Amino acid sequence: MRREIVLALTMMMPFLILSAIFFFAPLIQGIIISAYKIGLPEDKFIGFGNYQRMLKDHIFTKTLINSIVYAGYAIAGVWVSMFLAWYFNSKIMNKIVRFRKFTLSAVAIPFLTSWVVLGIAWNWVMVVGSGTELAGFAITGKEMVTGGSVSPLADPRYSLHTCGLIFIWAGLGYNALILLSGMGSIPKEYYEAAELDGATGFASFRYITFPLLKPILTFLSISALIWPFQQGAFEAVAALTYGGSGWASSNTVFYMARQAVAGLDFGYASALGIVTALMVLAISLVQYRILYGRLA
Amino acid sequence: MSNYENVLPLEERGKIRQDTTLRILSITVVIIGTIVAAMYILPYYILVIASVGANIYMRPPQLFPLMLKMDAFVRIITNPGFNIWIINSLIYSICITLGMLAICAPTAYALSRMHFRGRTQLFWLVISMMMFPLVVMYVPLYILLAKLQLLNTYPGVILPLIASPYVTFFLKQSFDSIPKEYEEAAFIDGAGRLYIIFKIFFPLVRPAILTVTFLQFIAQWNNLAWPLFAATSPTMWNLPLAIWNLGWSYTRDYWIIGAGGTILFILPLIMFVVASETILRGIVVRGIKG
Repeated sequence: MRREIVLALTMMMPFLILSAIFFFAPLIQGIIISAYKIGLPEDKFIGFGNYQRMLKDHIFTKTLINSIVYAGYAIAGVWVSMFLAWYFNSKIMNKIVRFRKFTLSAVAIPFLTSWVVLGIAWNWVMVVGSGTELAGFAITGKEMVTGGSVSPLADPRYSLHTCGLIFIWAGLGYNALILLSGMGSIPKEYYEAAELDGATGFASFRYITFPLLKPILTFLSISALIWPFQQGAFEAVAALTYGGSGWASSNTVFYMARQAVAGLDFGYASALGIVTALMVLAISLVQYRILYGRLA
Repeated sequence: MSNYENVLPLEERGKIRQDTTLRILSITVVIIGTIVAAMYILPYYILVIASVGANIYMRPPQLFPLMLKMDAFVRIITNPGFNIWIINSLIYSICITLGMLAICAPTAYALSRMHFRGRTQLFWLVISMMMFPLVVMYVPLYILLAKLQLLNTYPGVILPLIASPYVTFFLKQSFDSIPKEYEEAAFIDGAGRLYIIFKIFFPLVRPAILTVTFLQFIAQWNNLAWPLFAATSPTMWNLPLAIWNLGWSYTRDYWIIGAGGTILFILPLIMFVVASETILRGIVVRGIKG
């Protein structure tokens, strides 16, 4: 028994050391830094000053609302993907195996693509679709004249919702694959019994598939809820619009990165990070509570 | 068709009508699938045609390249800057993936198979690490790396990502699903611990290890946010960061950006074609993108 614990600790030692240095130390340091105004000639202790500043910062409020809008889009995407999974799981689709595999791969491929690529590609889709003035600007190099049609990703009125729709597009494959595997594990007998009772097509989906998928749907919805506060959303916003125009489409994490990298205001950026982390932590705790019953 | 129906007996007629309905339904299903697939291929298509010389900024935009011009790819391959970025990308993704396996797999094994006090608490530690979004740690990590003189070095980019709670959790779950009886049988036969791990346990968990390898390699190959913080000098950039910076700079060469983007997504695409089963299963088991 004693040898066992020595061996186990030896095996886990590299992980523990690395996570202590690169996870727990920065976590504590982040909390400490958030109480300072970092700058020259020296760092100044301001207590909760950074957090108070956040309350009055209307850009922070704006980015927080944007994040919530993105979460709404991501959750809507989960529902759309449920119908997509139902479609992939249909009898006809299961007969044309090669077509099904091709379509499924096409839908899954954004999950494996860098947001940098998706950002460039979607910006160009918008260029092809609209933006005659933008085109003239790019070719002639002359000043852009306002009033014409511009890319919805560059227009402050539409960029937020365009990004949201692109997020649905990108997340559809991932959600649909998980829901598909959930549908695969539903026993066939249920459907056969329902068919005897006269429930086919949409009715069997409504009364058998949907109720049995509820746990997975809950999991995916909560994952979608935290998604805008994580790395993927940061990369997406950075690549699609650079948070623009103005702050029209930036989320809290992007604002935090701008404060740190461009503003060099590490104290305020850390405070923003901690508030974001606390929100995600709260949602995650709810998620674990739902998934694993009582929290240990 | 109607001629047949008049000649055939009643039940046969019904069958044909059913066949027609099924055919119409099948065609609808295929049309929907084609539209969905087209929606997903379109952005990639525009990226690729722009990289081989179609002018998408023209009015009306060129949707087919008039002739294939590979100049942008030649310029990228022969450009020392791009070579550095591609090599950096490879170094980061290979080292981080191998490092994760080397460090997280033993941890997951200990958490899954060994009995010692504090095992549950250590597992909860791993889970609590998963609850924090990694991206909010990047600011203090950046300061820490600066203090350790590790900013803009390979270890500085690679080491902080290696101790991944996601990979540990995923591997622990996979290890748990392997029956203990195999190892116990070998143990009774007098096999040593190392023999059991490498000759019996490891072959059984190979699918899980492969899944982690593929998904983490792709995730690190695509990683933009972490190099943005840790690699501030252009010689340390990886490919996504470099292309992203080219895309938002004041002088943009759309041709080069298109070619760079194509190179950036072609490697995950090849890996997906080669190992689509492993990758699709991996996505299903757990989104371990980090």
